[in-house]
Amino acid sequence: MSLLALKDVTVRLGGRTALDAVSTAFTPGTITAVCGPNGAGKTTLLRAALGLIRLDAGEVRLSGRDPARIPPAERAALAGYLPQDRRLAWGVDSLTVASLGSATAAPDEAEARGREALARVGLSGLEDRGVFEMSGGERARVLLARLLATHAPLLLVDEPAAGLDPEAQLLTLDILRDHARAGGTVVVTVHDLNLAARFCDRAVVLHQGRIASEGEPVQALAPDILRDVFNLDAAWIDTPDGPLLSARRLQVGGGGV
Amino acid sequence: MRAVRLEVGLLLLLALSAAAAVSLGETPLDFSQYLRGLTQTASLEGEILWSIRAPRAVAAAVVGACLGLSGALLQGLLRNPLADPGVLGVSATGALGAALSIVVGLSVVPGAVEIAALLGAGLSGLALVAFAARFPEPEALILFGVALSSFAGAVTALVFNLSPTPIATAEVLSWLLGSVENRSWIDVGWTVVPLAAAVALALHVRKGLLALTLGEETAATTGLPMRRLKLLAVVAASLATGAAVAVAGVIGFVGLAAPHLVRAWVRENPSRLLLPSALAGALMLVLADLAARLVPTDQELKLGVFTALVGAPLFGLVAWRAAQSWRT
Repeated sequence: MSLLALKDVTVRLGGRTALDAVSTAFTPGTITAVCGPNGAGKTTLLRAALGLIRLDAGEVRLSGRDPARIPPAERAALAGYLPQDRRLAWGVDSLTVASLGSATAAPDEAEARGREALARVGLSGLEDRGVFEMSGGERARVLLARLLATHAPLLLVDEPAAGLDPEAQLLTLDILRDHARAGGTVVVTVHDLNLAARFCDRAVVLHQGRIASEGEPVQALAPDILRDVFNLDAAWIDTPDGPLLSARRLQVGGGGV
Repeated sequence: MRAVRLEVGLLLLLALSAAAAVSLGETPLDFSQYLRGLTQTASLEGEILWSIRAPRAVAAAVVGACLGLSGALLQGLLRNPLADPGVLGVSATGALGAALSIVVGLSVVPGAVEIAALLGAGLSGLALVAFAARFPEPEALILFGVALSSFAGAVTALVFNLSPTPIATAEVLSWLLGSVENRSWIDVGWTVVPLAAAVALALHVRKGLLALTLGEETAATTGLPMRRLKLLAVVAASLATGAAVAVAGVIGFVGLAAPHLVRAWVRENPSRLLLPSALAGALMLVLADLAARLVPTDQELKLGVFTALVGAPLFGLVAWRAAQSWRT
């Protein structure tokens, strides 16, 4: 049974249809990549899944219930969210940020979870460091630790690899895949199709608010989809480390660049 | 632990500054006069110490605490280091209430101006709460607060314009400039209940303020009832600001500056900033009032004028530092 399901979900934002009759489901034990060009509706899908925005049509079911009607503490126990925007308002220490993953738990429990999560992302010893004294990559890991400290079965992560160096990208995706392997449900939006193919069990490709394809990443991101949705002349190459995308941009009119 | 040490240190400094504010004044007293004042409250010296200086010092402390608490609440709620109690228009509407009561001749009724100011602040607080319930985004709240403040300012100007007598105009102006001069224990009593309620609410919402560090949407997914907590934060800030305006008129910059004085000590944690900021506000205003009293001028400097004179350069410094941090 799916932990998260969307049925005919339509969302209009500022006169534009961000999601158009989207139906899909996310099952435990899998990590799903939500792919698509800028403005395809990836972030809107995550926000709709959490009940953070009003639906114009359709319904979302989080553990069988409307997420907008689930009490905040119960919803937080079901789903954790990491937005793409990594700005923090104040330079609080990293342990305080990580401990916010379990904001409704007792302080000792929240701190223990925060420490454990910081250790998982490789930041042991930096618990007292202010987030404004850290590099962008370290700050991203602190925020990932906050997500892990939720202990929620469903993790919704918006562009986890954006702005990170290659090692941090792989570490982040490894951790999220481990969560799925341990029985969790992970939904990530990604622009890097190679990461989607290498780390994810499934891909949902969005184009102008609609699902263009879904399935195993290499199939969902087949050459015709890459051409029609991403404007790429591309093909997958098998390598020992997994599939690798060879691509070039299509010019208007069909020629490659 | 660090926050507790800070709070104890601020309390000690506040006690020292309050003692100085009670000890020093226009009428110099020698040691024997102090002793008589301390032991015989009905003596002339006792009157000076306990009926004039002490309530004034305590009024300054309570008003400063209200403003410091309100500033810390609003900066945390709006995630903006430049927010202060004036930003939501509560000060301006409180001032309008007081101005109206003065021009219609209610200032002769004890407590009428204070009640009018509290009502003005309370009404704007209710409007803000209603607005925040519909539009919880901080940017929307700031815009509404600015509109409210501008409108209250315009109506206050109209009150001046239509003021029936020059005496009423002067009285309104004097009140708007902000002061704790001639405040009694009864005046202090006006602020204690709203301040206590505001402190209780502030402590209740503090984790929500910390969660807002992550941004509005992420905070909404932390499991905390953010909508309710944000509403209560607005109520607490309105109560504290209203109480301050009711007793002392409009005093700027304390609400802006107090949180900045102690922010580094609490590692910028908005949930730990509330009480230290209230104590820092109290300390600032007691010292500012003492300084305003001791500056040798023919007319005693109004507290609101003094804090503005000191606070405006500080505001510039805050803006400078904020602008620098945005570049990094």
